[in-house]
Amino acid sequence: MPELLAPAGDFEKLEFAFLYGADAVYFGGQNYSLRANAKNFSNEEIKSATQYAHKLNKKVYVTVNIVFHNADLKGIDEYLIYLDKINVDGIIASDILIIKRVKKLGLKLHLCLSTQASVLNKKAVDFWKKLGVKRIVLAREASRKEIKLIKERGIEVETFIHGAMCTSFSGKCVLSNYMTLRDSNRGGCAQICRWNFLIDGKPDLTIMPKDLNMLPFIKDEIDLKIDSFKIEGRMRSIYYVATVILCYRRIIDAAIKDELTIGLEKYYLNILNRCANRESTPQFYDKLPGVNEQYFDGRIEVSNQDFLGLVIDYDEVNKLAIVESRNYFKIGDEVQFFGPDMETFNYKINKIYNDDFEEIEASRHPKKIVKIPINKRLSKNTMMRIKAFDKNDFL
Amino acid sequence: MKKKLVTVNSKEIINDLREIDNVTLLYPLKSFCVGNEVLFEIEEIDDFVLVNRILDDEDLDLLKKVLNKGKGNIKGIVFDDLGVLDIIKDLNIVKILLLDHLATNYESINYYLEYVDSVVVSNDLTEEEIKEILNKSKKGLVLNVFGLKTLMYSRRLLLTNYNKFHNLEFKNNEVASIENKKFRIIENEYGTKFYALKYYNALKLLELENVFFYWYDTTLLNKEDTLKLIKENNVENIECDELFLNKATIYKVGDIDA
Repeated sequence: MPELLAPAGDFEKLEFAFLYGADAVYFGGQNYSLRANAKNFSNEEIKSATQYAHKLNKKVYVTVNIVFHNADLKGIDEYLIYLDKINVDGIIASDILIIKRVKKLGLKLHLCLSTQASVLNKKAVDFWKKLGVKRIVLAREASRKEIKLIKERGIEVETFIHGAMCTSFSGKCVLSNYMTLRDSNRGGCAQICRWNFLIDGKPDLTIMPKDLNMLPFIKDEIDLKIDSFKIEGRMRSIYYVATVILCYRRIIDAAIKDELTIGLEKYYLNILNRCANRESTPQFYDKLPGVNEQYFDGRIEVSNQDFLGLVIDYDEVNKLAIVESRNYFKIGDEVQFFGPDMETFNYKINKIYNDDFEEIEASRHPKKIVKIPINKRLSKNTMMRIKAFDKNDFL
Repeated sequence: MKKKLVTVNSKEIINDLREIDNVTLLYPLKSFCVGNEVLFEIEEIDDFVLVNRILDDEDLDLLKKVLNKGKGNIKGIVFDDLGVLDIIKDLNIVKILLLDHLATNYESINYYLEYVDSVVVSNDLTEEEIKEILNKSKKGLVLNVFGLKTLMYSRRLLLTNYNKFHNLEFKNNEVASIENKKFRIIENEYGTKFYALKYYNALKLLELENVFFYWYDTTLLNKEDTLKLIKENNVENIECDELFLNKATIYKVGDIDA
């Protein structure tokens, strides 16, 4: 069974990732991590996160994956020793100095080589393995054939299965540095590959890839005995984390039981694409990506307001879901409730009460607490979204 | 050891370059490079060979055969993919690791120097950072003092896809821009490279010590400008930029306000 590895931009996202089915999460500390714009975790929070995960029998991996400049070396030993001491389950690094220092310091940290290292062949794997690397996070450019050969090397293999793609090989791009002086290899990527380039007398050049989704090949990757399936997106919302993790949890479980049908795949694909506001494809796994794997009309993401509310409690006596609103909804709306311990179900809202138990027509303000009569008991942290797709239509 | 490493940018210039003192020629190897318009068969190479793309196992097997064919003629190799290390371990040639954006501190470079004769220092760095690396490096390093600055390397065929989508005739070596920044884009069947249009000029670093080679990457320069550059360090006809030499990049987005 492959590990389902989720992004956790902060502690709340970590909790939702675990709740919705992740086996492990990855996140960065305040320094040395490639998502400098995420909230990231203080040392104390890393410790709490590790303890929290271990109580659930789950794992945490800490990214220490910047490409270091001379001045960044200060304090790194203390940080690595700290991570080792609090028993994080692994670190994800791209710079050889981290691998070497961990060995030199005699730490037991499980070393994962970041995708920044762009590993695509067995001999590169052997190089890193000899240095003590236990897991390789493969380049997102790796094809099935390349993955299969590398897996035969007797090393843990982690592959990305969902999320945004870089246009370049990871680590092989400094467009952001050139345009904005924000260092992409030290956490400041300004995503220049999503901008339009002008060419004289021709249409704008766009090089933006669609997202990655490995949905059609999950079973195949399970058969290849991939050790960890990684979801990209430390900057994403709890709604995104919950939705994507739950979809893949169910896809993986169904694939293992040989119950993943084309209909189910289509259903989940629709949900995943809508949640990200972008289209997605398997990218490099089965072919060299072409026209269909890119966007050519600039940035086409249209933000939707699908996430309507978060169930924060359930009133057993009055059969009411207590919901913290996230987006506008009103009486008559067709919604869906989904969560980790239940089947997603459709619901037409026929009454909404405010805090004072007065009937209201609509919930108009984010974070407003409202009550919705519903006979089914709902767990805390169940989510309510716009009903965009009905599973039954795909079965 | 000859001090100038010069990328060969045309077949016609080879004899002229050979006549210049202190020059080692670096030939981009056909099927193993991205971002070079002029590529060379192994039989044409009698000096150093450039292998600058990320390789899979099939590529490595093929590269091994190709390099064996060139045994005796090849004097050195500049390569990007760490997988190459294994297939060249028994070749008696100079081994230089080109990590592009990843050779940015002295400690990592010193670790890599345990496996190779030299490492190319990243040109994403400030002058001060480069000097510190050279001072603390345990072997001489390759310093890129002039050349097209690689900004991005993709395995995708970005120009092919663009032309196909818009139903345009394919044209390589496109020039594109965002605001006042200009780019040169080169594609071949193995991927696409984006360069800064202006050449990176770090000739002011020529006097630095602990340098194995000063690398002049003359990709896409015409013959006249190339020879002036190599003979006299003359760049008067070439649009140049010092890029990051005097502009430090920012560690975190939050640092913009700091």
